[in-house]
Amino acid sequence: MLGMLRVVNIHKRFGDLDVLRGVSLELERGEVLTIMGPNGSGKTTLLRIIALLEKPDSGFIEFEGSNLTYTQECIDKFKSILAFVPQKPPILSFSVFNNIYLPLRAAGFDSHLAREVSWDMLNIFGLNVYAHKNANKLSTGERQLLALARALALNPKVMLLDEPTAHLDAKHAVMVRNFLKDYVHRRKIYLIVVSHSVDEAKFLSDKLMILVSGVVKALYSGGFDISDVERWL
Amino acid sequence: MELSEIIQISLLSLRVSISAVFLSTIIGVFLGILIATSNFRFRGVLVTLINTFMGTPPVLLGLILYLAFSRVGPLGFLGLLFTPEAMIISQFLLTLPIVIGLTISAIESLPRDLLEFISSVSIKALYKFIFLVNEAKIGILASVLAALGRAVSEVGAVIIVGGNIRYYTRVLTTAIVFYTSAGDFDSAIILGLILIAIYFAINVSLLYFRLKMVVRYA
Repeated sequence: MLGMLRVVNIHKRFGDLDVLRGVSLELERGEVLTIMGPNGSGKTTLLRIIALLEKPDSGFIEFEGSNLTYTQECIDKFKSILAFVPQKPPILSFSVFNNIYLPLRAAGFDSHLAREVSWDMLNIFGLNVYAHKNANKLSTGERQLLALARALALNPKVMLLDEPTAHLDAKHAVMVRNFLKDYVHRRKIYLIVVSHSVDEAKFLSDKLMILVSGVVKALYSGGFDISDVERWL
Repeated sequence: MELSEIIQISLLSLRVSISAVFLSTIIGVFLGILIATSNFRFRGVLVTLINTFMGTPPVLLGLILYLAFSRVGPLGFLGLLFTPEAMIISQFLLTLPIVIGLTISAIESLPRDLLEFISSVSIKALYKFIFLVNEAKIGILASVLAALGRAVSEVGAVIIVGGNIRYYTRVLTTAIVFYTSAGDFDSAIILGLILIAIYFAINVSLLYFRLKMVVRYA
């Protein structure tokens, strides 16, 4: 279907462990889906499968009417519109500025635009004061902000964020949530967030999925009761 | 032995080893990254072969090159036998598997998330190469150091393909072999000390760069 990301009946097994058992979800353009669940419930594996970094044992992903296969052409095409920020985001051994600027250049942005977008993102996320600092010397929270800024700078159509505010202080967590919510609705992107924060899920989500032991236990759409969600976690 | 000859032998040793390692670094790092980031059918076999070639006996390689470069050999028309160029080729072939093998290890030991990120963002192959070299630079430097150590101390291949010709293809290691067999132990020891001093100086300068990188990026 056009304007929709569908994940259909995904199964994934690692050795003897069934990590995902028949997981399905649907997300419309401009919607935010939050996935919650206890540790080891398969949330990160599901994100990695959607990012085409892992191949499911069965099931498929459909993006805007096309089935995503694991051919190199399809992977390259999908990754050019996708931004995946893992829980411990990788930081390149360059300056903070070059951690945004060089990936933009690598992704095909011309130098003028890449420079402009890099500074915009650094300013938005309050990282401009560290622009010329070695990125490896940033704190964990600052690294997370940098990874988010870099992902957003790439202007993705699909964003997958694994606990995007886990290492941020309260002020920055609120700033990131506000920015993401506004960004998704303004740019009409697909955003899937893995989170352990019910408050974050409540604020951000149009849909909420509860995943326990690789099985979808509940799927809320258009609001949910916090106490109802907490009984699963 | 005169001082001028010692200087000439030392400079030729440096020229041969540095040229060989320079070439094997350029080609080896490129091939190492290509193999480390590719998935093809016989990749495991290829990596095993490269690891095996890391320990190629220099005399065996020297023999093969001798046969290839000799007048009746397939590459005899090049007229390279008993020239410094043949010695560079032999050391290049000896050090290439070391640079490739250790570069593969350096790339493969980078964090999975980092490799996935670099590969997902790099539509332009040149940037992917730059990112990987930058992230694995400490491991790559170690591979260059290991290759240089192998080249400077190698004697078996250069003595066969170079012929140990005085003032032309005699390098520190082959000169040590010559003066030892001639019973001139004083000259052999002096050349041995120079060899150690050169290798020590190269090591110190490379380790200095490595330390600077570790301090900067740790």
